[in-house]
Amino acid sequence: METGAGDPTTPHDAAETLRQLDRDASAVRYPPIPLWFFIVMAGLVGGLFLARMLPSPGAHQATLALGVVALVLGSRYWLNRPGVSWTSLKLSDMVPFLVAVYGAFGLSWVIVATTGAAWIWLVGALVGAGVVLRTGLLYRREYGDAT
Amino acid sequence: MPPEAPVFDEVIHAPQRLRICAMLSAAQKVEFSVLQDHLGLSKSALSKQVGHLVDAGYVKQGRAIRDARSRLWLSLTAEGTRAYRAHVRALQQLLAGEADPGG
Repeated sequence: METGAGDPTTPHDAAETLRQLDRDASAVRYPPIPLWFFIVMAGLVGGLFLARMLPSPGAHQATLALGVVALVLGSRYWLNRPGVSWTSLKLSDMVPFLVAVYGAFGLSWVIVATTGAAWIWLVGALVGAGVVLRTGLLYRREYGDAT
Repeated sequence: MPPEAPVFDEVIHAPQRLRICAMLSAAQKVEFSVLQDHLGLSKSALSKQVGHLVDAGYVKQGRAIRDARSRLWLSLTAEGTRAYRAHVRALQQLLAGEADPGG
C-alpha cells in the first residue's frame, strides 16, 4: 500500500473516517421519504401480484401500468430529487428486500402453476405489500421522516 | 471490474474533501447547495475545497437550471472515482491490518 508522506491515519482514525463516509454517502443515497410513498408502493407491489389473476392480455397491461407508476414514483422521490441526480443504488443494501419480494412472487407463481390455486396470488399480494411496508418502517427509522 | 489497489491520496485525504467525494460517489450529480447544507460549510469554504478537487481532475462542475435559477452541479470524474475508491480501500486495509494480528 502506498502512503502519503504526511499520512496521519491510525486504525482508529480509519474506522471513524469510514463510518463518517458511509453516513455522508447515505445522506445522498437514502433521503427521508414520506410515509405515503411506502403505502402507495405497497399497493403497487400488491397490485402486481393481483394482476396475475386477470385474464391475458389484461394481466400484461395492468402489470405494465403498475410498473411504470412504481418507476416514476421511485425516480421522483428517491433516484432523482431536487439537488440529487441519479442516486447510485447499492445492491447489497437491497438484497433482503429484493429476495423477499421476488421470492414471494416466484413462490406464488410456482404454487399457482402446480396446483392451479389462483387465490395464492392474493396471499402473495399481502406478503409483498407487507414486505414493502416493513421495509418502509425500517427505512424511515434509519434515514428519517419526510412530509 | 477489479477493485482499485489501496492508495492514500493526498488531495482526497483532507477531511472535507474526503466527505465531498463520499457524497458525490453516491449519485451521478449532486448540487452544490446539497453538499453545503450537509457539510455545514460556508459557500467560500466549500468552493475552496471543491477547487482543489477540480484542479486535481477529480471533480467536474456544470450549471443547470432548476426552478428558474442557474445552479452548480458537481460530479466525480472517472479519475476521481478511482482515486476515491483506492483511498477508501487503503483505509479499509489499515483497519483490517489492525483487526488481523497476523497482518
